[in-house]
Amino acid sequence: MKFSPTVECPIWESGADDLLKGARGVLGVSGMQHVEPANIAKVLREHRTNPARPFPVLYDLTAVDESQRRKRPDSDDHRFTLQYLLWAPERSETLLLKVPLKGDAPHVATATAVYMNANWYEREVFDMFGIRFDGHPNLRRILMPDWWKGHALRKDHPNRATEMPPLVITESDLGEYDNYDYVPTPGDSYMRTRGKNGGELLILNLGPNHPGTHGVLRVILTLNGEYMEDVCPDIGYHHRGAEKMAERQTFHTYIPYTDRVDYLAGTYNELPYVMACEQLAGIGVPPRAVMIRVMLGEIYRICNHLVWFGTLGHDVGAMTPVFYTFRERESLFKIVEMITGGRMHPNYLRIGGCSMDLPPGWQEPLKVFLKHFDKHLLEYKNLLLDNPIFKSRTKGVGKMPLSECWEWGVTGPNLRASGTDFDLRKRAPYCGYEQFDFEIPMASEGDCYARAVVRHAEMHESAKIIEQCLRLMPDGEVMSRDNRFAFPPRKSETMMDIEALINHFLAVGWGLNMPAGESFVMTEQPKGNSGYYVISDGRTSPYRLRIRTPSFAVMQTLPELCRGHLLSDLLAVIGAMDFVLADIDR
Amino acid sequence: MSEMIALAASAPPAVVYPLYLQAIIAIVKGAVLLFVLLTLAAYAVFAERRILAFMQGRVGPNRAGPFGFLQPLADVFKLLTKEEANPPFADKWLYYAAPAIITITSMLTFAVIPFGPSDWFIITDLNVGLLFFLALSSLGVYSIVLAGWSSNSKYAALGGLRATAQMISYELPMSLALVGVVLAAGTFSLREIVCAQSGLWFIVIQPVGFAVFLIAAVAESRRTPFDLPEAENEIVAGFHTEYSSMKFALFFLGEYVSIMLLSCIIAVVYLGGWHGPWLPPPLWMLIKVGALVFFFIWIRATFPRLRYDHLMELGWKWLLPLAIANVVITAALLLAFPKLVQGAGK
Amino acid sequence: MLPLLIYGVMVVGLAVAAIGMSLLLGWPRHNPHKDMPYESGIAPTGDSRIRMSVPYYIVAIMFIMFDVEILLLYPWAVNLQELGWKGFAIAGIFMIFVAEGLIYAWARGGLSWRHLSTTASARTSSSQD
Repeated sequence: MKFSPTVECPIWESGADDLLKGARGVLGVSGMQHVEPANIAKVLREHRTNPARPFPVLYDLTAVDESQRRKRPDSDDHRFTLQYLLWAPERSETLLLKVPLKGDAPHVATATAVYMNANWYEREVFDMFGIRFDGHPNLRRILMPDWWKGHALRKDHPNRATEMPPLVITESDLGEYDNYDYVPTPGDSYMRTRGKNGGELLILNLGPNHPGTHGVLRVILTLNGEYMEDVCPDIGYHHRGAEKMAERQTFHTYIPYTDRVDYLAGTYNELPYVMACEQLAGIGVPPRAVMIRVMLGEIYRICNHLVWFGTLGHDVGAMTPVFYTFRERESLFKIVEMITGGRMHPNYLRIGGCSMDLPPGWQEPLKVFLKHFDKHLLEYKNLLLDNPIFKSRTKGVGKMPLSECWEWGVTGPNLRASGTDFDLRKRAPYCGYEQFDFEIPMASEGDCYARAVVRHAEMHESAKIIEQCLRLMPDGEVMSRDNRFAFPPRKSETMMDIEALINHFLAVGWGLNMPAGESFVMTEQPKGNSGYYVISDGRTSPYRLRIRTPSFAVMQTLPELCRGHLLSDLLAVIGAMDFVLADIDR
Repeated sequence: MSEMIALAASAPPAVVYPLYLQAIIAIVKGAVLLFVLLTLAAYAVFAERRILAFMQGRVGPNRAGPFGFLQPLADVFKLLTKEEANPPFADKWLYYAAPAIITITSMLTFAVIPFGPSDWFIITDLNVGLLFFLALSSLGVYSIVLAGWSSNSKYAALGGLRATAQMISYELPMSLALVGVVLAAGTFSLREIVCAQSGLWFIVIQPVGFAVFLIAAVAESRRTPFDLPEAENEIVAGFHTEYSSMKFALFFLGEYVSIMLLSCIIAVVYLGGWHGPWLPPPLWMLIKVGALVFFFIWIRATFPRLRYDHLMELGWKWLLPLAIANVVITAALLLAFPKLVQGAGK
Repeated sequence: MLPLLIYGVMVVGLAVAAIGMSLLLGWPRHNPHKDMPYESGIAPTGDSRIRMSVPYYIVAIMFIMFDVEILLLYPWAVNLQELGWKGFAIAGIFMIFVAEGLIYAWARGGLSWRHLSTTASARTSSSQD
């Protein structure tokens, strides 16, 4: 079989004129529609219920501050554009609704009545842009603390901490909020003091500094005995402004930052970002680079699932599996280190290819790993999956039916545990995934055990893909020769030819002038469906970068999964849902 | 009953020392026992860390002294000199008493454990030794509950609550399983129970009772898979969240002394105590206890944690019926074949 | 009894000495943050000493009853051979009552206390058992 990925299709040639004018629609979405602010709830409902072409999933909701944008594709007089990205997974169709909003503090009707998961997305837009949603049930800041002044993703908000005075919090800064952290107050749903059978309710903060929450996640629990009456995840403790950072990095220098979004997924974060940039630039990628991307991506998928498997075991009280899985992860990291030079943050992909070719002798350690991996998978199965205590802790816990998964925008293995085999790698293949032979594992129960089984099986499938990469790795370059956007080969040309050196120097030091336009790519990350939305206004850094992460979507479902269960089940659910805080907060 | 007690009391050799000499002997025996206990508990921690590390592909503490043998010493000094957190929100006296209670109850029980046939290997051969063990083990739970309550911290309170839930789950099967042993031995004295096993170990007569007791004993020790009161992923450190320094160390000490105690009890009532060929009796006892301590460590490396409603189900729906059936069957068996047990007193 | 008493005093002395020694060696230093109960790095919300609902209280009551019942078995157990089959019959009848109590509690749902939870929403209750 000859590996010929389909991405080798320079759209540059077809639409050069449009591209120069910056007037090419949005690349990577199937349709776009401008909606007046007053109509948005109605239009959303229409699209959701349209019998011919329904869009059952609200994939993403975000906004763009248009105030400093050059080459604006539409009228010039609105301050914000609200973007609803609707998704019909079964048809692989995406629809972008753009809502222009005028004025400095606009209002718009909430979408929570149509799409339940709009709740957190609207809170995020409110937090980051100051756009208010009328009728929203709980319009509080979500990532920043309540007392924060300003809205971080507006263009007039400082880009760096050094542009702001040192942050000193005094009583007066806190204003009406009497505490640094959000404290449930009387009147909240959390402060019902009496349970239905007379006992008083205990308000318990689980996190942000807690050994069981996988990072700085805070969950406010209302406990009746040990039963969780109400569960409220409070996120934002890991917020670093990854989207804001993109606005002051060049297109290339932002790649290392993507590594840190889902820090367990390595190159799989870089992949949707560089794919979105390549789509924007209209350049292709050589087959060898594509296959390297696939191979590294699957290696990181295994790494991610290994960490997840070990920590799930630890969350339900088994201390040993985590050491076994980290042992295998370590041997994979050695391979990754040999190929990329990095471990968790490889910074390896480049716009137009990969930063360097595979080192000589790269196959041997991979072959050794693959030879033993199935044996180890069996070991994990015996140790944890077949353990009756583990089964009793996870079966029937944290159930989510398929319809609700779509409702909440839950994707990835969590979705496939609820009885579908939806996987972008099969349904909307990218990077030539359609040319690989692998299965999509699925389970139908939708509980924590099903999630465990699905991910365990996925590790085996990823190993199969890696094995095929080993056999089929094509020869050739690993970098596009389109030197307007891709770097020339370092050793053979840059070091030999002064023109190439100047070119390279400018591209790295100053950055590339990316053609104006908007580009969207979604990929199947280890944790689920991740989408990067890049807006360029023709300068060297993104005008706006939106990262839609799977963890954010799944964390929003935590109350649904946990209500009425025991405190111990919360940890099983958290362990099985597979998130990292950096992926939630960005 | 009364003649049985008289029988048991008259069993030891009738050498009667004067009172002051008895006192001196008791002090010496007690001091030796305490020294051995503390050392063994410290090294049980060390052994656990090394064995767990070995099972998990790690190295474990190996820096202090050859093979890390001085690690327990370093730990003790560290814990002694750590800051004594003295939380103003806690109930002072109960807060201080809680760690002392578990240390005292678990160490006190060792007074009735026979390490060998002679009088020198036991502090005092109480004729109700088995009941003494059961009573003190129930008292030990108070330590956990009081620690949880007096800390005045939510995680600690949840831990204390779980400890009660756990106690009411495992204690019935545990004491019922021991009824089987009493049936076979006809005495509560631990030494005589061992003597009664000179022919056949009780594990052979009642494997079911052994299994029930073993599970209940792991629950009693509050270790994985029954470490609910201190489940660190769920309630941080449970009942000892607010404890530091030596008070924390006393909980630790209590836990490891409990492990050894439960191993001793299992060895004494089911595995024939000091009986065994070739080697001297106390050494056999030590080997059996060592193997059981290893077993405790091993299951910690293997199992996930139960949820506390599952533990209650396990205790009431599985262990309790099994233990009741075990008592009836054992009694019938022993009445039908009285020759099964050729004990000392019988 | 004397050795037990002496040993008991030694054990209590050890526990007290350990706590006293660490009080001497690692005296407490207070600051406002250290003096807050630990609640995952957040200022606690509400009190920890509340009337918490204990859904397993029925099991706890049963525990006390069964514990007393089992206590009654010990005198028989220790005199098994002396009392013979007659004693066995009496104890057997008693055990039948004990077992019957357990079966009754079991059948009436006293042992599966999950249903006592207040918010057993539709989904969670369907996922149980």
